[in-house]
Amino acid sequence: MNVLQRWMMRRKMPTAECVRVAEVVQQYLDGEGTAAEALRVERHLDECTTCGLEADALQALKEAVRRHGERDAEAREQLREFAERLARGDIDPVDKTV
Amino acid sequence: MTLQAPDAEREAAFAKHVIPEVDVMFRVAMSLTRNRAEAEDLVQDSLIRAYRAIDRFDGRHPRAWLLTILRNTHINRNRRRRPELLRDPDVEMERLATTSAGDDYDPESVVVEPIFDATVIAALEALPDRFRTAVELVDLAGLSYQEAADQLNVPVGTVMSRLHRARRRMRADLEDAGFGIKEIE
Repeated sequence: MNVLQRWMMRRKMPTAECVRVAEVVQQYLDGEGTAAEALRVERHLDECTTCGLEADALQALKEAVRRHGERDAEAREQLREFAERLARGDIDPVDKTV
Repeated sequence: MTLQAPDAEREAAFAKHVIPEVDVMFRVAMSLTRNRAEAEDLVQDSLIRAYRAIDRFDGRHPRAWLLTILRNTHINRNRRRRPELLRDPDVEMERLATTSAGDDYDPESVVVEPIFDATVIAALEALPDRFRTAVELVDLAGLSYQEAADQLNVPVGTVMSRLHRARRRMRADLEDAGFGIKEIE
């Protein structure tokens, strides 16, 4: 189902503001874009259920991907320890890749 | 010809600039290698190179500096060991051969909506490389659009376009699996 079909399901039409916000909502959720844009997006998502649900869906997607990235905690911890040992001079940085 | 910095300075610079970026390096390495053991090797090699080069680092943009080292180390490793990968634009077969979902399964991380998460990850893995990489760099590794663009050597607009298209495909897959938006009337 695309965005327009979703709107039609709710028997509503997107407003001009809905269209403008849809263009920048992903940047907003990604932490990009200006503070003014963020304010505008937030205000609209508060007022508009359909756009709000859309943003929630995108955010849920991002968070699932982020959780997937958390699964290698042990590997990352070991690498941090490796880096700390390098920093302390505990490892002789011999080039392993001949 | 620069003098080599005293060890104490070198170690302090390394601790300050490099250690905070190890997580990001690993996540980007996972995106590059598609394999945890290789990613660990790649990050360790890159950390060693960074340690040796830290006295030449000007202190600005440590993440960009480290990811450049990571990328170059990866290219050099593949050039030596698997030269055909550099010529082959489609590394999907390599990815399928080396990825093992079973190894990466961590029961403790699967707390919230495991079926939703599994569906999202399946959708992610099903994406064409260039779309999947955009999502991995921004959503998984937490890079900014500009950092991802630098890593991929493409304009920021390309990163944004790939992200949009990747997410649209992933949402289509989710809807096919029954995870559409619940319309509340």
